[in-house]
Parts: sequence; structure tokens; C-alpha cells
Amino acid sequence: MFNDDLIIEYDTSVSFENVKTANYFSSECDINNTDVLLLPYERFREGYEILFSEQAKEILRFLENSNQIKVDVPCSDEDFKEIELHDAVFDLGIFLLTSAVLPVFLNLISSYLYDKIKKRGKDAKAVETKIEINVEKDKNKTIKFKYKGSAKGFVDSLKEIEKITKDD
Amino acid sequence: MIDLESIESYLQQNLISFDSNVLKDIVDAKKIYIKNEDETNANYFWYLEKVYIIKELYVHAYHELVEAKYESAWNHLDQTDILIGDVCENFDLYVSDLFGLLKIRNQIHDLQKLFPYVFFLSRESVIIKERCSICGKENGLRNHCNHIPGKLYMGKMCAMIVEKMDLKAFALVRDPFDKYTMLKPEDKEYNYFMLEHLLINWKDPYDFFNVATHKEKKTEFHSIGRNELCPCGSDKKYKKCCLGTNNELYDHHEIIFSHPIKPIKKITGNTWK
Ligand SMILES: [Zn+2]
Ligand SMILES: [Zn+2]
Repeated sequence: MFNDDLIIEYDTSVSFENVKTANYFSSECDINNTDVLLLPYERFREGYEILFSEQAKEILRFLENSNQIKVDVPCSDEDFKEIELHDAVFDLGIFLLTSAVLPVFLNLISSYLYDKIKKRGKDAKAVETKIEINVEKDKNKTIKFKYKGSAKGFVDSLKEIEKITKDD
Repeated sequence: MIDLESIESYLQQNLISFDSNVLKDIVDAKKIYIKNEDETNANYFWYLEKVYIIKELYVHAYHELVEAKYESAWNHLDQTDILIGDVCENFDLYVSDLFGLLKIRNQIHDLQKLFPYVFFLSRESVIIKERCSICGKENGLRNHCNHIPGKLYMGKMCAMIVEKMDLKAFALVRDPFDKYTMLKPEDKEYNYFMLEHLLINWKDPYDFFNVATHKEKKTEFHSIGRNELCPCGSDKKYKKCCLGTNNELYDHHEIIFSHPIKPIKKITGNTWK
């Protein structure tokens, strides 16, 4: 029903170190004790330097409550705002994580997505989703996975994402 | 004293007419359980209340379809769908669906395919401040209560009440995850031919049917030569334009009942009259 696109970029500059230098970075974020960061959309709408997707808090709390990974957001409470788009695409967000937690993260985020779809009685082939996952392996060696397509296609590509990260 | 068994067997029926006394009994019992801080029963009676409302709303939407009040039927079907989703957040209907809500939901999703609505107007807004409906605490990023939106707490569903938001834009969206207002151009009229044809054979809202969808070639593409101008109006040759693409296809919906029906010839129609 959708074209499932997984775009992979190697050696990008997105990293925990670089996030610390971002304009929006706040010391409220415990970045040194974090496995997964939820990153904002920058200059997505006028009047807001950064914004997050409408289910950002829900996803964060779901990840937190798993007690398997430490999650945070690199901005202050004050600057954290969600935008409701109500569009067809189920936006999971932009994540930056260490390669060590990648398998756990993928497992959690895909079960979040599938649970959501099941509770609404939808078909995973008919729900469009998007996500960006930045996996930091070493300093300045981040792989970016950008997925847009069916929820089923995303879940089908998890093994590939893990394998590419391992092999690189 | 409330008789749970008789309420359950009442709600298990394929209700067409509704006895509001039953709803009153359910709500009264729920209030007593809330007062006694019996959360399990308070939540269960919330569920029973929703089952009543869901079935009533669904049957109401069915009657609206029969009366050709399609827009209103659409909205009520959408509301019913959302309510069933609320129940699913708290009760695993895939394990036990005592009142047959999943069948109603599947029917709603199939019915929605037969409406001509393609575009929906949706509001884009930034949430500035929201508060938990259960405890009243502000829902900040790091500073928040432990209530989860959609979950039940002592017979009440947690929702985040938006106190301040910044409306950014209106957008036209196609088939959103949740259905919002459909677009209503002033000079055009929707063509409900699929529903009209369904209703020739659909005499009972609990007579569940399936909708099978196949891709078929649009009629204007039927007898076009490869080198002729493309019917889409692009001024290009058909073979260099829509040939073999999704452009020349449309979704053909086939309605399948579980019993014999009056035969209907295959029909096609447009979104607009
Ligand atoms: Zn609360
Ligand atoms: Zn064409």
C-alpha cells in the first residue's frame, strides 16, 4: 500500500557530544546518563525553534516505564512542545542512541507501535509510520536510518537495521 | 441491588432498541463503586456503560444511513470507533470480547471504505500547557504525574486537558489515523453510491458484511492505445504517462454478505455527484 523506504546514511555528525552544543541544549537533560535521546524537529513551524511530534511524551514514558533503557530529551521542560498534526503518518520521532541499546530500543519501539495499531483495530500494512534512528557507534561514526512506509515494513526491517549496525 | 448477570446478558444481545433504565442502573452502580473505592468494579462498570453507549451509537448511525443522513452517520461511526479504542486501552478484547465490540469495529472500518470522503481538514496546533484530568497536575516533560492518558483510574479515563495551545495552520490530509472533519466544498455534492447500494441488502446493523478491495483500471483507460494521448489530460502519450502506474487504477470495493443477497450489477461512480 505504501512504498517502504529505508534510507541509510553513514558517518553523520549527529552525536551525543554534538547535541551538547546545540542551541536548544539544556542542563536539565542528564545526557551523560542517557542511552536514548529524543531529538526535536528544528524550525518546523514559525515561532518555535524546536518541536516534537504529538505522541512524544507518550513514547518517552513508554520507553522509561520499560526500565530497560534511560531516555531523555536534550531541551528544557519549558522548551519542550508537541505539535499536533493529525495527519495520516504515525510519527515516532527522531532518536539518537548508543549501539549497545539498539536491539532493546528496536524491540520496545516496535512493540509500542504494534500495540497502538492493535488497540485501534488497524492493519499494520495500512498504517503509515516514520522514524529516524541515529546509532552512535564511536565518536563521529553515527549511522542514520530514516524510515517511512508501512508499520509492517518498519518491523520487517528491524533485523536489517541491527545487522547493518553490527557490520559497519 | 444491581444484578450484574442480567446486565451482562442484556448487553450481549444484538440490541436494536435500548432501555435507558439499564444505562441508569449501570451508571448508578458505577458511582457506588467509586464511592466505595472499589476500583476493579468501578472500571468494569465504566466498561459496561461504554458497551451500552457504543451499541446505541452504532445502531443510531445505522438508522442515519438508512435515512441517507450520511455525514452524521460518518461522525457517529467515528465516535463509536474511538470509544471502542478507549475500551481496548483498558480491556483486552482480543482475549475476551464478551459483548462483540470487535465485530462492530471491523464493520465500522469496512463501512468507512464505502464513504466518498477523501480529504479531511485538520488543525495543526502546538500544545503549550495541558493538565491531567485525574489529578489536575500539569503535564510537563520531566515534571508530571503517573497517570497515563487513556487508562482508567477508579472508573474514570485519564485525558490530558489542553489549557493553552497555539493554532498554527489548517491542513488537508488524506485518510488520517483518526478521522476528523471531512472537506465540504460548497459547490459540490458527495456521491454516496456505494452506501446506497449497500443499503439495498443491509437490513440489520448486526448482519456483518466484509468489504474486499481490489485495484481495477478506471473506465477512461479501458480502450486507449499506447500512443494515444493519456486520458489524464497531461498532453503526453499514454505509454509515457499513466500506463502501468497507480494513476490508472482505482479501488474497487466488493461487499460480501454471509448470506444470499439480491444480485447487484457492478457499478462505478465518482467521489462527487
Ligand atoms: Zn494525574
Ligand atoms: Zn497520464
